[in-house]
Amino acid sequence: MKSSRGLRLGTTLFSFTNEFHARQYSTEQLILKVAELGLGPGLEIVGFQSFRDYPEISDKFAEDLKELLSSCKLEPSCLAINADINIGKDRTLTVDELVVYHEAQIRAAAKLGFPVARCQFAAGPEVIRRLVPLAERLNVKLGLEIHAPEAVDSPLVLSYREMYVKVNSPYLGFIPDFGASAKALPPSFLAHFRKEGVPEKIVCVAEEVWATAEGNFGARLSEYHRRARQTGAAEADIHKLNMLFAMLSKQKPSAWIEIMPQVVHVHGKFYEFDKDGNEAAISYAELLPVFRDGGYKGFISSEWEGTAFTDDNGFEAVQAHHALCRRILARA
Amino acid sequence: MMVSRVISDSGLKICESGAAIDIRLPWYRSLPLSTVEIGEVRIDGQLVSPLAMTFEVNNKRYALDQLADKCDEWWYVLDSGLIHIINLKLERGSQHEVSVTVGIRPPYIPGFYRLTECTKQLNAE
Repeated sequence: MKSSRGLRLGTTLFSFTNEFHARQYSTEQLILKVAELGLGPGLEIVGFQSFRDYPEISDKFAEDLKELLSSCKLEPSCLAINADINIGKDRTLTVDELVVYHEAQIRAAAKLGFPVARCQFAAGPEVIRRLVPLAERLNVKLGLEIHAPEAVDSPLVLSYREMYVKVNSPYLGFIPDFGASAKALPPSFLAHFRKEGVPEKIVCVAEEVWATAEGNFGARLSEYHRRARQTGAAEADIHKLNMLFAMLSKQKPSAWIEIMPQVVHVHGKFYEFDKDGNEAAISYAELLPVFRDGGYKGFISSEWEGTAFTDDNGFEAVQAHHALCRRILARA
Repeated sequence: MMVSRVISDSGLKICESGAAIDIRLPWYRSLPLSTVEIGEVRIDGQLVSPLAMTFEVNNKRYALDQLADKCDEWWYVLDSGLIHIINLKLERGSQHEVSVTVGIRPPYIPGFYRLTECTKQLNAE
């Protein structure tokens, strides 16, 4: 794919959560299927999903996995690690505890051959800063996932960017998640809530406020609550739709340019396709050129999140996503 | 979409201590028991007392109010957990309506709590 330049496709096994959770495919079988369907070459894995003893990884397990990937001509792209700050009921983990919690997972990433570890906001900049020496020693880049409802210039992300400037390590980077750059709410997601019995009037309010309200997550959510309450709908129903505002936000695709040199991996979040094969809620036609032409060299993982509300087939979804990405990247 | 799998098909078992319901974790990844709550359990509409139940994962059984302290006991996402109902006598082959509510607090999303309710008609096996 000449015109994709350094941008390469891949998949996260998270996209096949339905098949995996239903015990239809083991981790190994999913990897073989990804190879068979040509959904690589990048392969991302969620540690706490795919590996039973994670973050403990035995030598044999690591060797077997590396051999499997190599025989399938797949490349480990990113290990999604978790910042489980609320693991205890009554208190959050301290910075020291979180550092230890992350270190084990970064060692797992290195042992399995992943060049990038996906980090989460819940870690906080201080924890990530303290992980840099280990990341440098093990040659694993720390990629903070910029997920909705945050944006490249939101205060939370700026707190990391300020730390990144001070530390100045090539091992500190970002993972844009395209759910933060949606142009609309996915119709199938809205249909799901209608099916669950959420009144049409507040589904419409959520859709309109999502599209029109400005400001940060809190401001947009408050505006939705204010307008939804005017309809007289039940509080429980109103709150069911909060997740729409948390899972998708509408940063302009071009805004990612600001952090492009620090992008170490990409989450190609998607939900569904329209009749022309375009993503219905996220403009890949705008997003992919921003990354390709912005000089990003690395993998984009196809990350299907329909698993959150449908039992649809993940393989078909990722195949359609790869076809869309190829089509866009093939354009001059 | 794991709601329909919270209670496993063929998930009502007769065992020595009474009966057990085979359940799955309604989340995409493994979680420590400290972030899992077994909520209301009903058999044929009858609420089962929490004190009459224990929860088993990794071949270890816990009282329901012990789960919150089990930060180091992981429920692997592909494993079944067993809700044991002590002294519940069911006739083999009899059909029952089983309802289970499971609450989870994914520990990397502060403030997020999700309740999942599942009801199935099952034969006691």
